[in-house]
Amino acid sequence: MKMGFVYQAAYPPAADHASASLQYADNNFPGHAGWKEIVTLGPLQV
Amino acid sequence: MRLQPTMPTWPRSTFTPAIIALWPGWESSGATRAATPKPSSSTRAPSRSCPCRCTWPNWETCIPRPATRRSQEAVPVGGIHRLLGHINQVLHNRDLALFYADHDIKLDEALALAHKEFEVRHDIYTWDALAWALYKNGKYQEASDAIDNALRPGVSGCSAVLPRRHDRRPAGTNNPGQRPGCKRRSASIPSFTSSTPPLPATTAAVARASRIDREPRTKSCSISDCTFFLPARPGLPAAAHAQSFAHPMGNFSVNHYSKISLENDGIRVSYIIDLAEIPTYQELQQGNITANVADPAVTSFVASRGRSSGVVSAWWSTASRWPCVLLSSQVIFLPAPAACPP
Repeated sequence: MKMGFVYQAAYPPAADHASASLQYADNNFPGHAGWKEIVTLGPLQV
Repeated sequence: MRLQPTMPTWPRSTFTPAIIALWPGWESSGATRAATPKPSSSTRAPSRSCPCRCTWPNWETCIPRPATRRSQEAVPVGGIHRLLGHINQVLHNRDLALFYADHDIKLDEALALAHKEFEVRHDIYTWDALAWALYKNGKYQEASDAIDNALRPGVSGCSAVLPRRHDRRPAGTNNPGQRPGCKRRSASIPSFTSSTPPLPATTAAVARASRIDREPRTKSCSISDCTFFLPARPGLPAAAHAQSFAHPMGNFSVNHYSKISLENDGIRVSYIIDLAEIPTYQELQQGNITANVADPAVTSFVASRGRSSGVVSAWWSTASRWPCVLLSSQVIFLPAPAACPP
């Protein structure tokens, strides 16, 4: 069983794109064996 | 273990011919014979109805202690491998091969025995014995291939860790008193077999080791520091093979994939969670659903899982919680092995 979700959110109004940082956490099904992979993609101008 | 006068007497018919045949071999073993007490007059058969009464050998003198297990000189192996060789030349060649490999003796003969066993039997235990013998003989690549074959779905004897196929008969077919409301739930409850012996130790250990090598790795990333680029696992959602395999990470594993992409209008997170057989079964039970994508209840359940808090969370360091919005959700059920939920 594979579940896929797509989330979206706007940039925060006060965010400085040059230095803003995003924290991301995936606490789904903690304690289970398996791999966890996080990929980040972004345009060069960001 | 010594036969006491109070122990029951075994009639001769309960002994298989193989056991009877091996007994002279035990008697001819000097160390075993010396350690085996002679039956006293009180332990002899009391009547003609029980004509066979045997004294068991003293196993402690034959089985090596753990501290001296690897020491060839300290292991009185004569009786044991004679025993294993006499019981059944076909089935227990495997045991004899494992014994030789365990004690690092007659390794070439162990490999020959494993190959000979493999000619007549291809179950998981034979693959395991062959892998162990190959490994002990330094043929590591062939041993690795044998282990892969042992863990291959469909190999006989590997059903110990897999639940049986769902019983999809309609409720009430075999139980007229069952309530109709239990239909869906009973259809998703597999039964587990407990009579099958466990996985061979070698294969199970290697499987655990390979699983440990792939322990989940967690990375924290920053939007402003997107220099590292992890390769995406290729085609995860599109990996619906026509052929069914057990989950490579184990039946209990849960795998996570997150892709955070920066778009012009905001951030988009594509999150895929891959549940192996057992977590899938738990999810199906929790949602009281069946593995049917076309079922509206399944779609609703998955969407609710996506909206629930704690699935993923992301937030800006300069802001409060990230107000993420679920755009879409999808679920697929891959073809599963015969004994597993999808």
